[in-house]
Amino acid sequence: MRTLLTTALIAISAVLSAQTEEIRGTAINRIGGNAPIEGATVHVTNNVDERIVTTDEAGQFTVSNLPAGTWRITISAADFDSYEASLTLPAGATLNLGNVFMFPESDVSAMDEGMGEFESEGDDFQGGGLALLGGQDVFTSISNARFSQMRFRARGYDFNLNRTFLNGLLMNDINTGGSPFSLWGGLNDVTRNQDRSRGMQPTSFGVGGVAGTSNLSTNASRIRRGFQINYTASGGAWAHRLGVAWANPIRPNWYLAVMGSVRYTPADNPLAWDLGTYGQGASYFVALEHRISPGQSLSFTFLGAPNMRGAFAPPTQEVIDLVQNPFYNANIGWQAGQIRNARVRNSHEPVAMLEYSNRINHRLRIQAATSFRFGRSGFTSLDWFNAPDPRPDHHRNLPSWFTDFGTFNPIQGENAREGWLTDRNIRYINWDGMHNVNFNNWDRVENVTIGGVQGQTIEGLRSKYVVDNRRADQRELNTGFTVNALITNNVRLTGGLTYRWNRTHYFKEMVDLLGGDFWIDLNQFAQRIGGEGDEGYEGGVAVDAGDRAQIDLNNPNRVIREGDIFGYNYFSFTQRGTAWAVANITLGRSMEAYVGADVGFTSFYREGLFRHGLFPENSYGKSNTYSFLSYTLQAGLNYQIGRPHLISANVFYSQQPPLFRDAFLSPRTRNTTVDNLVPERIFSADIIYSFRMPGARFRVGAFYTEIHDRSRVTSFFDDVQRTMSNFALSGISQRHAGVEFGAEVHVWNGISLRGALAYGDYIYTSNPLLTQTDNNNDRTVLENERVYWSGFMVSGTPQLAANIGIEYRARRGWWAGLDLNYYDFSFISMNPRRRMDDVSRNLTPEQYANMVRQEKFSPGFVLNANVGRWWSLSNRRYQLGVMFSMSNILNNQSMVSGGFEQSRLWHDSGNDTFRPFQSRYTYMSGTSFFLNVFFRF
Amino acid sequence: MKQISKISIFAIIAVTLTACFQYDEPPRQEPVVINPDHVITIAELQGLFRSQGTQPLTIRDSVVLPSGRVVRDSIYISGQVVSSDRDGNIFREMFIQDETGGLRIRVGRSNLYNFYRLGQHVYIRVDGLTIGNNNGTLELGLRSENFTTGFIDVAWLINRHVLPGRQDTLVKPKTFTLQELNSSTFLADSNLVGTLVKIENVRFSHTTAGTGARPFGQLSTWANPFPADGGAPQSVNQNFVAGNDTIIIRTSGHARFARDLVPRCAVNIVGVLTVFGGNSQIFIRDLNDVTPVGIYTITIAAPTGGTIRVMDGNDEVQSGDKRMGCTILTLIATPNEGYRFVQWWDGNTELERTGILISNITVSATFVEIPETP
Repeated sequence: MRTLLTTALIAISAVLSAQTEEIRGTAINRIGGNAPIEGATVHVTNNVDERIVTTDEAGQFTVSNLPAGTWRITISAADFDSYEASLTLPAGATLNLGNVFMFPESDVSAMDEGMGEFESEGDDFQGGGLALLGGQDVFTSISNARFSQMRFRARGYDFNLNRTFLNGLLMNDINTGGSPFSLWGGLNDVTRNQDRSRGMQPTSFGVGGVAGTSNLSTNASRIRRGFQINYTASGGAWAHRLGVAWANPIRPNWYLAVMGSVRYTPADNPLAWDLGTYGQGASYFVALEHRISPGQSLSFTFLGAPNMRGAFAPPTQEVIDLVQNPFYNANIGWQAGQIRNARVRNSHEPVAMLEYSNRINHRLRIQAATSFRFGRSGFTSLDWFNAPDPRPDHHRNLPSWFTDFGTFNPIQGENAREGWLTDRNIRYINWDGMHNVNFNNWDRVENVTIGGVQGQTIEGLRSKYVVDNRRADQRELNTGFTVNALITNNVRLTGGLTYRWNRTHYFKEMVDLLGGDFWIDLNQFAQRIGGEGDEGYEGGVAVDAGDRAQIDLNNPNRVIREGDIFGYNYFSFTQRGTAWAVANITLGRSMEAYVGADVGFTSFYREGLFRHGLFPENSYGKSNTYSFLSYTLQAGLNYQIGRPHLISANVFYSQQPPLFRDAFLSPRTRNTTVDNLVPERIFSADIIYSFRMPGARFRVGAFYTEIHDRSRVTSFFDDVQRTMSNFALSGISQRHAGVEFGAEVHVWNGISLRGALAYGDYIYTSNPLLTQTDNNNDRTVLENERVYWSGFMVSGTPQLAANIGIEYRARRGWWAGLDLNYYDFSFISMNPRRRMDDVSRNLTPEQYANMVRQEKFSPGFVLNANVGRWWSLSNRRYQLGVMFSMSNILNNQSMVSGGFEQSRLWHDSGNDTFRPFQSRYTYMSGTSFFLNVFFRF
Repeated sequence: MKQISKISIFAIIAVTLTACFQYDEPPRQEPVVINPDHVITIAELQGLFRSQGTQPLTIRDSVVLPSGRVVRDSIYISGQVVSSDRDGNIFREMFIQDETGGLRIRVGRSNLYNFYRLGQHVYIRVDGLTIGNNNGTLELGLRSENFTTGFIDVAWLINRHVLPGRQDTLVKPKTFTLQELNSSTFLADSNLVGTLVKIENVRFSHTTAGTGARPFGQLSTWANPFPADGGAPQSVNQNFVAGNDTIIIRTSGHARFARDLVPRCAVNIVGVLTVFGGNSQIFIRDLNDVTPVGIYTITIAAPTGGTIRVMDGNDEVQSGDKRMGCTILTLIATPNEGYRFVQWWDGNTELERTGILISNITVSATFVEIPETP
């Protein structure tokens, strides 16, 4: 069931009577002729104590014997959207809610997981999931449901600012801060119990986060009982998805929930716009809960979501124009007639968790949880050794190479174009060709290491082209302990301790020798440089560099077969501990304030398992350990003015350590860290006004956030210099400010109008420093040089997103809706190199403007519609539902949902000028369909 | 429970699904074979060029050969690959030869050795290409305004014009004297330019500059990848002599072996012959093309007052043993008790030294007694 979290205090249109505090009301079906709802579950909690009652035939309920204070009430019934409200119970009063209007459910199941990632070569950036912002107030529910097609991020934040908990344990990736949704992808039916904080406000398991916090509970007793089967077909992320879930008590006080799902997208999915993003996955879930005594339970959960998915490579505008298709995917080609994608994400990361919770008395509750996460995660990639670059959209293969770079030769440009248009093996990866190169490369190599023994000789087919898998396998122990206490009737105190220990193994694994027998592990780019005396020389000189070419001096010239580790091999070890406390204070009848703080320590280090030939003293073994202090302070207020109005104001300040990923210059080769490793600081404040009455809700808010001293390390393959290169940026500052508006009004007889608007101004406010290193030598290319991008825009989301929609919910269980969305102020992700002094020399004013300008994507309208029907059969024993939605009905193919400037620059040695390469774009899909069918009993 | 078994069925389906997305190995590409009706010899193609003068000639759809034979619609030459860019001495070009002659083909792709291996038969479709004389060496490429011919550097054109045939054993070069190779009449008569040749028993003499390279002193490396002024790698001409004749061995500054020392001993050299500005030049493919000849005798004169050991790697050399030229020897002098080492026969005073064997040699050392302290 989808939960609508409302934050209004309901008026006490009540009879003050007696001494016992109680809450009563009547649940009414607003659409079904205001009929009462029998058998609805009423759940009341103050985070320490809880009561559950059921409505009778008249839809009425009473909850008695409650101490005064602030309580949250949830009324839920099958096929209705849940109703939630927050109430203050003064001493000696009865709170009569009167008629509580409930609306039939519209099942928007299966959020589009894994919406595709940016293709930044060498960058493990994971962009999946949504940045959730607080509870399901009207703005958030509309923006989450509608804006994901353009990868909207609420308030412009990166994913690492949203905190996602599982049973009270923070599950965000400790190395990247990224959201952990992919760990339970496909398990939607059992992951619906999400508790979301109200924006930045804290929750019962920690202080808040700037982008909101959500806690997913997988306690078996809270999962919807019965059996459900759910099938989805879509042109989006997964072509087919089938899930089956079952939950029920199996014995008195023992609850079990299990779920399995499979997901599949075929290689030539006719409904998909992106060719070759095939995949498959299967997810599993088991939860067992034992109620030891009332209020005390022990829960065990085990879940996993193994899956693999081919990725999309955003093309440049030249390629889009050449093939007349914005969805051209450079990662694919044909092998023996079958589509094969070179870049396949693959992972299987199960989580096992144990949780204990105990409501000791009505004033004290404790909870403890521990989880262990393990498994594997990686993405495949093509690799080659002393052979031409096989990527089809390499700049030398394109017509522009002959017209825009070097010698001007338009005839050759035409020939290149002709080849692209007529030969599939030029336009895409030539898998058959690469295999044949390997088939023909018989070689005999001496002085190799096989199985740890040096000085051997090997002969056979030596692969020139291979597919490898770049893995980051995590093992993490995560524990937390929480205490929830009612100090007085007006003061609730929560606090706890957390500890995480993580070891991530980063390495490259040989997956497919593409017809060859072996590979020798060497740094082909180091082979091409000289030793001493090569200062100032750029590019490659074919000089045998001996030891410098070794990837691992401990195993020189290692022979690699499928399954072996090569290329790079290191661990990251991270530990993080925090202590936190939050006090919620009720002040009078209409105000609630809170204050929260946490203090933590983080430490990490790298341990290299290869002794790299270029950095023999600094790559093998442990690096220094880097430790940081972190803390968060927050405070806020919720003020109820009169019946339906609520004002909420919050401030937040936090100092967070840099991530492991952003601390090491080039962790694949050495232990060197970025200079000036400092923690990142965030300040945020917001104020929100919301209004709710039967049939209408409205929310408007403004926020202001400053981020300072961010560090970021990105790597890319510089095919001009022929090496992996690393940018380490430090001192990044950003400012995010904006307004959010959402409203929904029931107009007449089941017809509602709704709208939302997010308008923000997210900019960079500092000129950070850049240090650039290349992996094929030990020089520093640039050291702490200034990047002038203050005033430029933060990328990754449209800064203006607006929605207006109309929806009709009929009495008989069907509904239909139509939405129009508008997006604007979306900007390209910048290459810091373009805004530096050294690359702007000798440029004409026009060329200079072209170099530094940040591209803004065109705005546009997108029209979506959905329709659905649900049936309740055999006296509500069975439910069957169908939902169909169509997005981008007008087939607008000009909306860019993301793009980035390429990281390397072309140097024209004739004029001694630099020029940027063309940027790469991901377009929003054209018209897409989504069909969902569910069956429950 | 029924429900649990339903979940197990799921697990089985899921596992079998992971078996999808296996890829079949693609077929081995069949070597191209062209109907001999469309194939002409390299000498015939070169003849077509020479008969029309000195300007580059673009081959049309049909040719009439001197023998009267007409070939039309698609015209090929066929030869075996005799060059390799693996070690970087040549770049973006390829030499092929048949029984009648050899030709440089300007294929504008790097790492060509992955696609056209030494000894492999290759068909070049010549109609549409241009043949020209680049300072004495004939070459085949695209029509170009600024150069003799241009690179064939677009994948589509390479696929069309350069066709891989069957693999074969390496071409065996014939041996020529330096006089022959320096004689333009001889080269013209035998159509040797662009083919693989062998010279025997030559010895390094001196270095002459490539384009702007500075000559080295006594010791020379094959090329100059790191010029003193920090500029681009320089190609260098090394001069080898036999008797009174000299020939140039030219090496690119980009070669993998550019920083290896040129051997001082007598060697045989195999390489591709070109002519530039009236001078014959040979390009070796890698250092295996340079093989020492000459077997020399090592005589060890037993000294008084000490011992001498001559080591070839880990093996000890006895007096009267023979070794190949260019073998690296280690000489160790150990004075007896009460003696000290003075010098080797050639004046060197290091107790342990290495050297390269370049001729017959007699190794001796002088030791003197240490006078008693009074």
